[in-house]
Amino acid sequence: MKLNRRSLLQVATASAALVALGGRFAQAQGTEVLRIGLSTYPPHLRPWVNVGYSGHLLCALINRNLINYDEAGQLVGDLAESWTNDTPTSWLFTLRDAKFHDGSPVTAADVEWTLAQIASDGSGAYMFDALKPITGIEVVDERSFRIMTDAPLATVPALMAYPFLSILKADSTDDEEQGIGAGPYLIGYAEKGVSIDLEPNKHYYKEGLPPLKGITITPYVDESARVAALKAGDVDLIDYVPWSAMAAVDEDEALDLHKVDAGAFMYLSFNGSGVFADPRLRQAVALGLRRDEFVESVFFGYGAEMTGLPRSPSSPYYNEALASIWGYDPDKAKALLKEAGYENGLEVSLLSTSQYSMHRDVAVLVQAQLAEIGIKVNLTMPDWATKVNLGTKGVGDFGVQGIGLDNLDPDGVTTLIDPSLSPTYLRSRGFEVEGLSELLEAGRSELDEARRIEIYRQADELVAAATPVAGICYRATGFACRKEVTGLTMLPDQLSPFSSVLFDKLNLS
Amino acid sequence: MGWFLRRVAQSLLMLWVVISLVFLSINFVPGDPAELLLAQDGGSPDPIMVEMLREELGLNRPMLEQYTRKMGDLLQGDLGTSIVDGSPVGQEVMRRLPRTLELIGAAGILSLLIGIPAGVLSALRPRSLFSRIAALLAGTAQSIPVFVLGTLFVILFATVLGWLPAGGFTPFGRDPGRHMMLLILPAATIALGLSAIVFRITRASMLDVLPLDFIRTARAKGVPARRVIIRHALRNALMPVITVFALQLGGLLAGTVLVETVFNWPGLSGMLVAGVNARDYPVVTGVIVVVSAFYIGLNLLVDVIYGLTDPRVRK
Repeated sequence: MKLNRRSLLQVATASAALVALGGRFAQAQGTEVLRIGLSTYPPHLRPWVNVGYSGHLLCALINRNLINYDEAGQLVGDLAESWTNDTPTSWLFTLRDAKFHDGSPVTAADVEWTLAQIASDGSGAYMFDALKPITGIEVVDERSFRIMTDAPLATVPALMAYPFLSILKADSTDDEEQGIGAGPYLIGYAEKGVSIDLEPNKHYYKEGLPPLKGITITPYVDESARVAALKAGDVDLIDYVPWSAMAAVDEDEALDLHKVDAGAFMYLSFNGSGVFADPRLRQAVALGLRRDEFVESVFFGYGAEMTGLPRSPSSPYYNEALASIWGYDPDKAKALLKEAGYENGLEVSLLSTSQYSMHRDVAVLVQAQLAEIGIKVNLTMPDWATKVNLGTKGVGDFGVQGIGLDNLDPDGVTTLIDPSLSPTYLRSRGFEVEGLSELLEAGRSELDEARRIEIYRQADELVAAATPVAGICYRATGFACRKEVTGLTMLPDQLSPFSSVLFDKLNLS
Repeated sequence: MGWFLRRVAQSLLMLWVVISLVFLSINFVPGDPAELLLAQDGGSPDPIMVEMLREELGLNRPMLEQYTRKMGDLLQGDLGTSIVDGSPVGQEVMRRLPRTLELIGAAGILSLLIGIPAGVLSALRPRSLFSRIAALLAGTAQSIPVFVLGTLFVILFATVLGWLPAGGFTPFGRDPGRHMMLLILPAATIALGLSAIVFRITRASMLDVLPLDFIRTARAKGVPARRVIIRHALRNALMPVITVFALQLGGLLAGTVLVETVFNWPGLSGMLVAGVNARDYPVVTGVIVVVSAFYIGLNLLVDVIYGLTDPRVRK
């Protein structure tokens, strides 16, 4: 084609038409297919493996647990209709009349198979360790079974509500790695890293759900791209709303921000192989931090101060007197330093990572605030992979950690607060809190709630005195959606990142 | 022929050195893939399970054995399997490579369409207002980081005007229209900086060629001006443009990570970055092998073209 004014005009007109069509095209999406912008494409679709919060969102849309949480954080039956502690070491479960994606009924044999798969060596299952106290499953009939434990175990119902404990059809993982679940949707199409199309499960056990014709999930790894996609109308809902964008999303009339302030949290773990073997120094650190500044500067005000162990105020295990054990008290912190022999200052190393801004910014703020009480902090901030590696090896006097709880049982924090457990990069190590392990063990095996409450009160008092970890702040969990999206509710407090167990009600108006 | 074979041998040697360096460096960088795999989103992996996984993945074997095995696999065209999801790396690279090639191909064409005409016009009237403005714009385009430009494009064309999607990818086979719409912004973002380079090289090269005798002779013979510029001057001035352009495209193959991130384009660069973060050794090696082979191949091609056009190079 010769390049002349006429041909140039033709090209320009065609381009303008294309752009104009594109504008219309971008707005002309179907109204009954919900488009979700997910923060990560799940690394794989293998069941029972922890694939993070975003992976859990997909998992909860295609699978169901025996038990789950409701909006109030109470355990409610999901595939299980009821459960009871019929002997001290066994729990009797009865299944409801539920069906898998292929229409076959959910049976006790499927539950037995699922739990056996999780417990098998090399399963990589998230619950591999947690289910070790379970000694066997006794199938009573097609819809009831007993879970047997080696000792009384109060946490069995909470265990069954853990994320990534989906019940799958027996042997279904032989053909497809994700197996056949009983969730509200099933995977219709998936292209790795590009998109996943979900179709409604016509056999879903909840009457009238799911209401949508389908869901398209597109990964938007970059948080700015994710927010931009929501604002531009490319997607209807996004997870992991960045804290920096929450205010703008909240103010946008076309969007709704759903958030829970006390979501996952940031805390400091201590390495007792150095100076932090002394509990007075751990406590001095905990008392030297102004937690409101962390919420404001690291999380843009979207979070909450963490002044005690993460016990939800709605939980019977919440104790008002122990809710503010880590307040800001620089004079007491300095006095503790003096008492421990560090009147002229203390120099310690803090392990964090520069890869994630929240870990980096928390570390920098810890360094600045502790300098005010005479603790010089040297930062080590490699990338995440190196941080995990160094943390596991015990590098650093203390470390910045971030984590969420996966259940609201008081035993849920045991793996964080008990330094006598096997060392990991997330946990304090190298010292013991006398009597704490025994109390936590007693709490797990106590079936009477009143006695259990008393046991955990004593355990929390030990934590207050010994400071095995120092809480910093909660970070808000946020989902954002367009106004047309209805039915979005969230789980409370630390469970909020797993709110997708309630997403079977999502709809578009 | 001997010269050609020597160049091929040099290229293969270069590729082997690159692969070996990548293998060694990633293995010496701290970070354990088994540990990371079991510590997804704050999980707390049991050291025994980490050790079992390391054994299963072959990470406990001596480094030399791992290296020999890797080279043997590569010689057979096997890029290995991902540690994270167990999928064949070669398959995933082949799925993502066309997306990245399409992106840089579209950006390349766009940059040539802008850069060459602008460079020619600027060289013809080097002191004109157009030339000065073009030089200023080229400097600006080159100095704006792609992620800034990309973000500005998203705000303007997706959020404010609503003309184009903010990002994402739809396979051409599923929805060609949507696919092309999604290509426009990332391609334009890369093209802007690239067109500035093409503009500068074209302009400089044309300025070198235009005063030469054969141009003057052509004009003296009465050859029409447009023909002199396009057939005589531009054709001779294009060689350095093609060289620089080819090398820029080669570099873009693994260098579009920021654009891929901003526009959520699932290409090769994103795969490389995710591989590095997860210490997924086979993915990192696989992507770099392919990118290096592509880059070295492009270099070889340019050398061969030089050799064919200029006999002195072959000596």
